[in-house]
Amino acid sequence: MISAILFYSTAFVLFLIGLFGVLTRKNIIKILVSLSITETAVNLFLIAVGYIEGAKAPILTKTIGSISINSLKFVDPLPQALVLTAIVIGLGTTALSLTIAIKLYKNYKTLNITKMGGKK
Amino acid sequence: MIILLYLVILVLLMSAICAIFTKDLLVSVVALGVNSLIVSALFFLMHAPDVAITEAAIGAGLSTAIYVFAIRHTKRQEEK
Amino acid sequence: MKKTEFITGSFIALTLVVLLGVFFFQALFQPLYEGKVMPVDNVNLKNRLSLHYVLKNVHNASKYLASHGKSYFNNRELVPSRKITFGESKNFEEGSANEVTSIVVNYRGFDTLGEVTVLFISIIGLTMLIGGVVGKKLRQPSLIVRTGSRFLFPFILLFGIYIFIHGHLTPGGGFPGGAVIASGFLLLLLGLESYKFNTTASKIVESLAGLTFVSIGLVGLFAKNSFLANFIPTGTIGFLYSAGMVALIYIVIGIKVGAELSTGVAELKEGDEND
Repeated sequence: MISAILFYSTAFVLFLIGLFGVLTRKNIIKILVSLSITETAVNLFLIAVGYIEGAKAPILTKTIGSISINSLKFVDPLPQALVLTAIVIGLGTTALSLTIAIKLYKNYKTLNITKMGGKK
Repeated sequence: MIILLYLVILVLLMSAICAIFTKDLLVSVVALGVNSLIVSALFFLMHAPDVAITEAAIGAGLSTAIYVFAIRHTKRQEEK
Repeated sequence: MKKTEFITGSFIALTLVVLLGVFFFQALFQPLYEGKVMPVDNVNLKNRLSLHYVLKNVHNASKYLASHGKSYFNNRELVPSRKITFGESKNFEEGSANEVTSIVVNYRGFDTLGEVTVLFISIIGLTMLIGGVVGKKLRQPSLIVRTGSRFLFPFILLFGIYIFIHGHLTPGGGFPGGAVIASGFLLLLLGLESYKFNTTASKIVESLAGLTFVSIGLVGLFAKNSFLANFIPTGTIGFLYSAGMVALIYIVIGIKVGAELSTGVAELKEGDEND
């Protein structure tokens, strides 16, 4: 049996590492990498909310047999449904932001955000 | 068994720190891919196989690829 | 920027992160309200809304809420429910064996339509912005990579199709299936240098899939008076021909997501054929 507190703690620490990266890095691609780490941490936290010790994956199979109000054998499926789509949307937004980063590089010839803007 | 899990989580946090603090962007992106792969294993341990499949295909595969393409269009080393 | 400024900024960021971390962890281990600890380790599904999703009696629950009012919130177990048996139970609210699929497609189908639209718009933005960008030339792939990618591509495609057709029975569904198909196209793009991704065909396929999604929803609107309602009979739970339109919509979503992600990856890779 794995306690849910372990997963919660991992998600928190990962989120804080990603937040520190977003706050301190100056390279724009490094900022996007940090943002991806933060996003992964939030997904991990949401799945951990639905985790129940000793329960099974929410798919009815022959070995599980039947479920009723008195024998609920599943973990919470609602956070999983939310995270499933969130990951795919995350890839779409990451691709869009990387495109903007490439365009900024072509314009200013640098990836450093402190040197962007103003006169070229 | 639980000690192995602690080790895996340690590698996860180390890869996140490596992705943020390294100067080489390609190393950073590969560390991000390792991070996603380990997180997908954690999803499987939390009985979420659907999310684990999605995270393995997208986080470790496609996401790493688009970051590498973006680095190819720009610069690999982080400047001072 | 001077070095001292950067060190000061890092110190402030570190302080902020540590304070936030203390805030997070004290919520995990300390009593929240009236001496009750946050239920992280003894979660009971009966106290959560997901109970009705798992037991597939959302319609009963909404009827019960309308007739009994606030007493519903004290005890969700009072809502009448049935026992679900694999391979025997027939004509449930919707007969999908995978609970996550039933939530994504059936109970929250309109939400999924919106999410697919967000993905569509982000890929459109990528395609518009990337024009004119020319990258460095790639190294030529070796013989093993060329042969291997040509050999592996059909199997990856087949696996992706399997994932989204069996989305209501096994782990998977439209979103992972589309991602697997896109990774197959990524392998072709990297492995075969003569391969050119046909962006126009992928856009047509993607638009047709989106149109099919909306028309399935409209058929539900005319047949059952509700957008994206399940108008096909849901057979026995656990069989391939069950769950009504869930499988149909997941096939459409799989094709749509696969085409969108492949277009995005191919557009980002573009640039080496011009120089």
